[in-house]
Amino acid sequence: MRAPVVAMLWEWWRITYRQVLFFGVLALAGGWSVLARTGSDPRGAFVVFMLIVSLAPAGAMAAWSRNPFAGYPLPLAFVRPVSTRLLVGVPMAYMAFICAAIYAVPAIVLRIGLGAPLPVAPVAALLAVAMALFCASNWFTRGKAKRLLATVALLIAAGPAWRWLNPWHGAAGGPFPPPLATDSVQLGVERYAVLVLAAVGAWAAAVTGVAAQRRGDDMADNGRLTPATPGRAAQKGMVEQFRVVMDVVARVPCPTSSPLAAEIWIEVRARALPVIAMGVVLALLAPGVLAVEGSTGDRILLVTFAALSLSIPFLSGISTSFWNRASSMRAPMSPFEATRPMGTARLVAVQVGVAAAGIIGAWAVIAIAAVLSLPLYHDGAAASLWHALAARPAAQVAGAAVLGVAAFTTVIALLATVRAVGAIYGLRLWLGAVAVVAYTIALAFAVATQHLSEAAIGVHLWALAVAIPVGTGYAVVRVLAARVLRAGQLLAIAAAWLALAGLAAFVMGGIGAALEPLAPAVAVLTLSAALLPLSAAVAAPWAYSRMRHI
Amino acid sequence: MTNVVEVQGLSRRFGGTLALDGVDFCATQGLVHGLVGVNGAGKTTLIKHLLGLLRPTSGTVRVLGLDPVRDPVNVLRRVGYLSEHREMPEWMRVAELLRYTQAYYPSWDMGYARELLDTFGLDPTKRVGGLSQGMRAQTGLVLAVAHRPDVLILDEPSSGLDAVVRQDILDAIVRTVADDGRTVIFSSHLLDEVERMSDRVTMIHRGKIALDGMRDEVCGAHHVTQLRFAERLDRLPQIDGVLAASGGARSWSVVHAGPVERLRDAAARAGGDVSESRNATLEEIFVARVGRGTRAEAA
Repeated sequence: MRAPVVAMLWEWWRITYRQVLFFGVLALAGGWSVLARTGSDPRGAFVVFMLIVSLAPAGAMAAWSRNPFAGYPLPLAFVRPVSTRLLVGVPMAYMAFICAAIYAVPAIVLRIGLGAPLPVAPVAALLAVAMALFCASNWFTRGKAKRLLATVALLIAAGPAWRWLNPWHGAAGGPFPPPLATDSVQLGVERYAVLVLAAVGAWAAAVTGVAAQRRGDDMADNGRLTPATPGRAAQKGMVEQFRVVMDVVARVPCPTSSPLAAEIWIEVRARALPVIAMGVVLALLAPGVLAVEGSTGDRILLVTFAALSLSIPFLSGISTSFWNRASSMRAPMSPFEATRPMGTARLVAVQVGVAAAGIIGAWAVIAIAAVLSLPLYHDGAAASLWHALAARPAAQVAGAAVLGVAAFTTVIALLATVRAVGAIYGLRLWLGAVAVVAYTIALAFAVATQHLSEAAIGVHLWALAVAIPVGTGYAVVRVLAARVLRAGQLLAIAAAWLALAGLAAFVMGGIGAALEPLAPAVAVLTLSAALLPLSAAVAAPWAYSRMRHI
Repeated sequence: MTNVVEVQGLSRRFGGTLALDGVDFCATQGLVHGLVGVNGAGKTTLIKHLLGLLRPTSGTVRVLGLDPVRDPVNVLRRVGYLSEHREMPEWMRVAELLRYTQAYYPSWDMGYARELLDTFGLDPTKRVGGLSQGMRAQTGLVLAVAHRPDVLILDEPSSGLDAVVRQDILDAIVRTVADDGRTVIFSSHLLDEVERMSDRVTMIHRGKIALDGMRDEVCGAHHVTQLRFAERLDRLPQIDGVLAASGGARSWSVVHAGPVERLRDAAARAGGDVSESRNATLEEIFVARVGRGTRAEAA
């Protein structure tokens, strides 16, 4: 490996090969399975074409998704005796190549093996140039805002560029999906020339920007080049940006009265407030969205807004509270956190409670803004909502709200448990989870296609119904044995669970829900599932204790 | 004097790697204990067991009479800890970090914390993320000592720091010990620092205790001795107690354990004599016992 170019290519292959192989195999296996069903139908080939085309850039982007550096992804290579032109050119060409290859290799195999009429060269060229442009837009600066703007500009320019390139020469109009042929995508010589020019331009722009990073003229948003602490990214994530904003807007001194108050303070400051701030930003968009929807009525904007409003606070809250916590020893609990003189049960209770409160708070802010903006959408919308709520007894509505919060907190606690168990058992847990998911999908498929008898379905339901109380009992024994929870704390948890169960019975009775009409297995599973808040309340402290004292 | 830390038969396995192998270790109240060893020897693993961050595969750990895994709160409340990587929330300001930490320790002395901040010249309004390596270490040190812990545990406190900050840390160790006989356990690569500061030295090598004793006794029991032989020798003959040897031909320098007289007798039998001898430094003992090409295992 004497040549620097070969060494650089080897380095990039070592960093990315898992994702490249995974997405390549996925594209091939997915394409093969679809074509095996659709045979020579050219519409089936179009579905495969779309599948592989979408997997190619996804695979290439996934290959560097864990990169912690802003701007050029391997800044430690700046000290190597290699020109910036090469430092940018080799990885950019590599990324373009793997993006094209994740498409081209499965396409060629499927074309030869199953006779699928998949176009190869023009599509691979388009994908390669698109990836080169994407690399340039992300590498040319360490500034997050500039990178975001460049990516948005690229996406906007993609429309006119697509129209000018006009590569689709297949069937237009007619039913979807259209039939596909090997010549459905075509590019003339001059189009190829323009693509080459675009790639060269992307390379030149990236070289200019990376040269500035190399000589220290372009620092990351937080002024750091490398991660400050192990497991911590140098670039600021969305939550951290909002954390900075909230530090200016709402800086409350840390209470020193008790460890619990201090722990709540740090969780709220670091994790809940940024998520609520995201909710506020989304809430500010609500009147505009509802006003536009009220005039156009096509619902696309509304559905997108609703999806973003639900997903952004949830995903941000979960990731910042559990998945992206500063880590050490492969566990999402740093020594700073693990050496605080506070019991593990309290620590996890605060983390779960504040995470749930942050997400619910963000949703509440968005919901309030949406409700207040309802008149902009439809004159009678607000009134109908109030009528629907007023039709229910207030106690029922309040009870349902409490149950909803408890159910959501249970979900958060179970996710925290999964995260902690994942940190302890690593790959074994994820392989087990993949096996369970695959089994569940196979089961659902068998049920949908009526390949599973009712008796077999019943066995699965009974097994699940038994597993929940057995698992809960095991967790109870373990937390008591490890002294993570004391008997008094466990009794308090059990009392709270009983109160929730009573409330659930009251609310269910109010809406006329009953277990009698259900099949025995379903009824028992429903009762068993009611144990989940109790299961989460003991499993999360146990899992966190295992992680804290790993 | 009572033992504030008692470790017996501690073993810890990470997958197929045995990081600690039957370690016995005691820390006596009022003493400074230095842990030395090469990278990966097991120093940090031992320290993490003292803090309850790791669960022993076998053996027992008692800190202040308590099991740090089963009773972390009561142990950690009386322990101060400065980690090698000095992890702290980047977004917090120094003053906020002090208030936050204060909440956990009933014995927190804010006056002492402010005094240390002034001594170090730390700006309490500065964010942790904007602190230099040295400032982070100083901040971490304030957090570790301001509640006047019974046991102060420092994991590689001098790593990557300049001489000024290193001196701050050493001063803090001295003050902690002077303060009602509290106990300090610290690991370090800087053997001159360990020799200067420690009352007791524990050397860890490949997960086992290679040497443990009071510093003066350890240094007094090891010597660097010059041997002269009548004939030229390609190899030094096998001599009991010799841990490492260098030199060649007629003149050899050896690091050995035990009295010089014993070495003189052994050398005489091989046709040599002692020309001069002095007590070994900790660094010489360390290199002799755990360095490459030593005779420590044979000794």
